[in-house]
Amino acid sequence: MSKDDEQLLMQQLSEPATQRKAFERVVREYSEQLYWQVRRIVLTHEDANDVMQNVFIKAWTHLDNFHQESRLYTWLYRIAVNESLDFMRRQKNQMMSTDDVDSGIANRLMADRYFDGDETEAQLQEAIAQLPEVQRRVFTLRYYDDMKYSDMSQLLDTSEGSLKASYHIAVKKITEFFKRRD
Amino acid sequence: MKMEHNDELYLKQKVGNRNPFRVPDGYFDQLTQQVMQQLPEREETVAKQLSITSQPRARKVQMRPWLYAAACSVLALAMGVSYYFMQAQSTSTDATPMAAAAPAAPANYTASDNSYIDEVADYVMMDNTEIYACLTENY
Repeated sequence: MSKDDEQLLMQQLSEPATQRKAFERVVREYSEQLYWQVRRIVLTHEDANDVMQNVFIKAWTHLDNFHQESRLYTWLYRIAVNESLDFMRRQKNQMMSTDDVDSGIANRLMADRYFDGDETEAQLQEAIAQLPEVQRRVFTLRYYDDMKYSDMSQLLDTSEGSLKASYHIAVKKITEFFKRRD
Repeated sequence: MKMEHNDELYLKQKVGNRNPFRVPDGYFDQLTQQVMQQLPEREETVAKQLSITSQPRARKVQMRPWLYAAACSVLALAMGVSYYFMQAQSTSTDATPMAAAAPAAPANYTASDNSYIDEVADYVMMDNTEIYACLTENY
């Protein structure tokens, strides 16, 4: 969406008469992109779908808090990541231990009908899940989306240098994960 | 950098960077409708936000009664001491035992000097509203 389109959309979002229709356009425009960010954190489709509902409800109820310091997608992305991480924390609190959660991921994914990767791809998800939050986000944005560090810097509000360092460390850890299993 | 590039190359050759996740057919087509059906009416959400923003002050006081009790005690003591010194200065020839036993006022203290009270108030981190509430037992 261009900046002009976004400006018009923001104007419509601030008017009660046009708010709902404008928000529907927001959902249609950004839901797929946001879904994949959520899915990569929570891993299953059912959980991602639940989180997505929460993301947009939160965005709708906090529209007045968005003062356009960032792009609309950046704001939505941050809500999506926070909701996903909150979901995972609640899930982990219900499990026996963090080790149990992270080490069974590959097996659970292989049994998931909405995962059609092979065992190596499932193991990659397990390795990614073991990364600290920031490294995990940087790795997935760079490795899967090939996002430029300049764009990532705006999205994550972090310097490009820090992002490059995070990616370097994440790649190294995941490589070691696989080499230990070779 | 070269080592990172080699590691990244190793991963892409071993695993690839294909998206292995799938969604049910037509999921994204119906997602928008599903989300819009769940959204509450905007008036309700504004009212809810207003009611939430009107609560924090009262909630904040209720959550720390012990702290406010301690702060009020310190403030009351400070005000009592300052009042005592004010009385001692204005009735310096009074021969009551309490006056005789009273410690000397600080050399640089005067009846109009409220900076001591201000210092105590700053120390217990109470603003004027909280001080008034404490003194009128409205907390």
